[in-house]
Amino acid sequence: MAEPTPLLQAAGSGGTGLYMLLGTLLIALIGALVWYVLNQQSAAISSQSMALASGNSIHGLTSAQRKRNNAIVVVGPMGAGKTALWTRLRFPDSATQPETQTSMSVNSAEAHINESKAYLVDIPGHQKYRLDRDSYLPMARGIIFVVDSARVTETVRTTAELIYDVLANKKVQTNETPMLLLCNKQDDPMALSNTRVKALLEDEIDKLRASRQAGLDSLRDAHVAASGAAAGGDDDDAAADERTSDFLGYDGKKFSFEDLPNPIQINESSLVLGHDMSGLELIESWVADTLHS
Amino acid sequence: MLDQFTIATKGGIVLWSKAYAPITHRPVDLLVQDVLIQSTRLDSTSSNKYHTGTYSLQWGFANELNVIFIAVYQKILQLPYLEDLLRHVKNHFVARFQQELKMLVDPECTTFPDFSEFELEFEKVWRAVEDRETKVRVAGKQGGAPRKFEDTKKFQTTAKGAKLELEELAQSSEMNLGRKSGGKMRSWKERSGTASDDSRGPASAGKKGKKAKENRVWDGQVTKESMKALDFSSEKDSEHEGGSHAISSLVDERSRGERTADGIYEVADVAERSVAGDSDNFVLLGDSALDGDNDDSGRAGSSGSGGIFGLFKSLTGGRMLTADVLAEPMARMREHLANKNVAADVAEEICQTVARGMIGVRVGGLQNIRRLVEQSMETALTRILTPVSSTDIIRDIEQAQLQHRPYTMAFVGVNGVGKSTNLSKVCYWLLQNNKRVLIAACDTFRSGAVEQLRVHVRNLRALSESNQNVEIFERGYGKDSATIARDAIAFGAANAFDVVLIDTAGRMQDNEPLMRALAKLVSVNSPDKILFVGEALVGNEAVDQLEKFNQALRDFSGQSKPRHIDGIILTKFDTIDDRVGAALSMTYTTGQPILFVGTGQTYTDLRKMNVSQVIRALLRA
Repeated sequence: MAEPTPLLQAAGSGGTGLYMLLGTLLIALIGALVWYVLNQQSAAISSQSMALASGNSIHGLTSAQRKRNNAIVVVGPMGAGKTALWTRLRFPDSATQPETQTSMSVNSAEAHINESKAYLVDIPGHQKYRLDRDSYLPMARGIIFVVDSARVTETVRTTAELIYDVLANKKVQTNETPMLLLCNKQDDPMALSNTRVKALLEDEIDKLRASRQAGLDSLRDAHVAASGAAAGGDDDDAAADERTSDFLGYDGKKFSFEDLPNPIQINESSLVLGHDMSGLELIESWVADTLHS
Repeated sequence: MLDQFTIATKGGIVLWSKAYAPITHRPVDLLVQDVLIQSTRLDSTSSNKYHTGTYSLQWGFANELNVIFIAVYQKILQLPYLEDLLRHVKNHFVARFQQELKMLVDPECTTFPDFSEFELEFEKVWRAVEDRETKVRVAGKQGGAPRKFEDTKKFQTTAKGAKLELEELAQSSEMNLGRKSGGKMRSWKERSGTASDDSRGPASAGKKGKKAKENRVWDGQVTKESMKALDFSSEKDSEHEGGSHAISSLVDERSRGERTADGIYEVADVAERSVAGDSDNFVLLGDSALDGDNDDSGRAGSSGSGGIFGLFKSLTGGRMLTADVLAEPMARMREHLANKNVAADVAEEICQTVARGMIGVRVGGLQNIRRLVEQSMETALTRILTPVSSTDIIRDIEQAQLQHRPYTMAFVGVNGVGKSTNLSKVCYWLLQNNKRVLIAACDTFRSGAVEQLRVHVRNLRALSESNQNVEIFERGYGKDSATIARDAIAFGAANAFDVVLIDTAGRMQDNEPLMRALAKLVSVNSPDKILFVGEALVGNEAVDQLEKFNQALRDFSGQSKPRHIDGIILTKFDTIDDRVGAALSMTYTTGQPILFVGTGQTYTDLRKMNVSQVIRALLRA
């Protein structure tokens, strides 16, 4: 006689238990959802503000930025006019041209150039931003290398070194990223023409190529930490570093930009407002062509 | 007065700039390049001040907006109000151009926003700050009415003042000391009293009944509370409040500031008040106006909880990072770096720089601050370790060949770090690249040093069959090393050597006669590169060694343009596992690149530095 009662009780408690279970699940689900939304939002805020504060660091690139396929990266030595070019392309309708000074963080923004949307990245020219540059180059659809044509004779060594680093970048080589070599500051009376700049740079890269091959191996992870951690990623990095010292052009033949697989165009430009041969239209059409190809 | 004031983004776009005098040599660019990007240790101890040419520069950041404010003035001038000016200009600029600053990051906006109308406002702010400064100074000197002697600072130094102060001290600590006789119940009473500083005493005794159980205070033990009661320096806050409410009182009263309870006369905080007698009644924005709409969230960030609503707001809207929030993760980071063998003061300074760059940044509520600190730290370390000058020595040698002279490198350092060993490794590398190398044995002090090099030369000849072009230049022991080096270079030039490697005697950085000898060697021969050889094993010592070597080269050279260390060779790198802190300490101290890393005993164990590997090792838990 006593048996049905516990059974009934069990069934009854089982029913409430089920409801409770369902309720808990529901609450947990809602909680997870809220948490997810908040987390996404806060991550977005943080990455935005951190990017503002520090300039995009190597790991500060969000996944959205990494996946972009319309990035045009502006590189070059300090004081060549990268930021000026960036502002001209970014604010095309401006009546005034803002002054610029040495940058200490990366400028990046979407801009409409000849009906196409380009993600313009301006990387500071200071040597300390080398690793930032290397993190942006792999995703570049096109590279604009800005040279100060008036001062190129003095700075040819650093300029050539920079151009070498850019062109020897593994991803730039495999993607055959097109490059626009911009001989800027043509308004300056001391400015050299683009053919002279090209010849100077080719001479210097030719020398550089030899000394690069003579360089030492870089430190492997094995020497930094003898144990563990020699995971696949680390090896890849070390190997990638190795490969950046790739030989440019053909062995036994003097270096020439034409020998490279990357399409390279050499233009003249002047970013002084109102200059009649600013070359800005050519830059814009090059950007549009690069993005469409 | 001011020569130039510039407001620019960190990306280098000048938003507003005004030059009051013709500016030469672009001091602002130099500031950015030398100080803000380099992030190496400055010679001057004064923070936020930079001197170049005839100019001095002072600057301030608005991290949350990515904007930097820079003031340029003549070096000979003393402008004490600049800190104030930078802060007020920042407040005004941010308040006025909030819309325009948003336009800068808005992709749909294709025209550059116009900031030119800031000029008028800037001049107003400038005048206001300057006026106030003069007023304070005048008031400080003569004052409207002469101050009573008891009010002055000098009063305290006199015997009578000191006695009075002592009495006051005794009074305030009397109750805390009285605990000895009072016992537990009594000490509760005092502790609740100390919370409200002025109403200390029996008035607060009524609270004791409501108090929850507290930690027992043993007699004679100095508690935090009693320390707080005795620490009068922290009570200034209430005095500041007094200063800001004093507007309604008389002018001379206002400019005289407040006399604090403990008898310290201090100038009232001028920043919090409007200027008395200013013609157009221009009111400076206080610091609170800076935060504007995000005031609440900022407070929520600092206090941790602002009710359920504040919590929600901080979760969705993000919060501002403050020094308090950053203190804990920064301390952790500092400890972590110290564990990686980074010199203590280097770790401290780097953490401070990183924290300064993060304050004011807005983060999402659920974002892990420690993670953000790590990110910023990584960026900062990358900046520090990335070399500025070219590390391509072969290219430099070719340049020297064009000038028909040998390229000279001097190896300096303390005893036993591996100068000769790494010199021979560098020599092997150069021989592999078909250079003719001369080794100058300038260690004329340690017995066996010359023989050691001779053995190396024999080995190197045996190793490289194709290139036998290595010779040793020696003059035995006990001679002056500077002369030997000079002769060696002359010999190298005459015999068409490409490179001369100068081996020097190891010397302790505090040994002045030896350091003088080194400075002489450098100034007589001016080598192309002065390479400091340092062990990767050193910790705090690394900073001292490098600073002393650099100082000796500077002080004892007798030249107008003294040399400094041009590069670092980090040896014994294979012995330290992932405690790679010395690499960071050394680059941070000198700002010079690590050219080679020695990783073993054989001639081939010489490597290039790999910045990303070192950073990964540094940040690895």
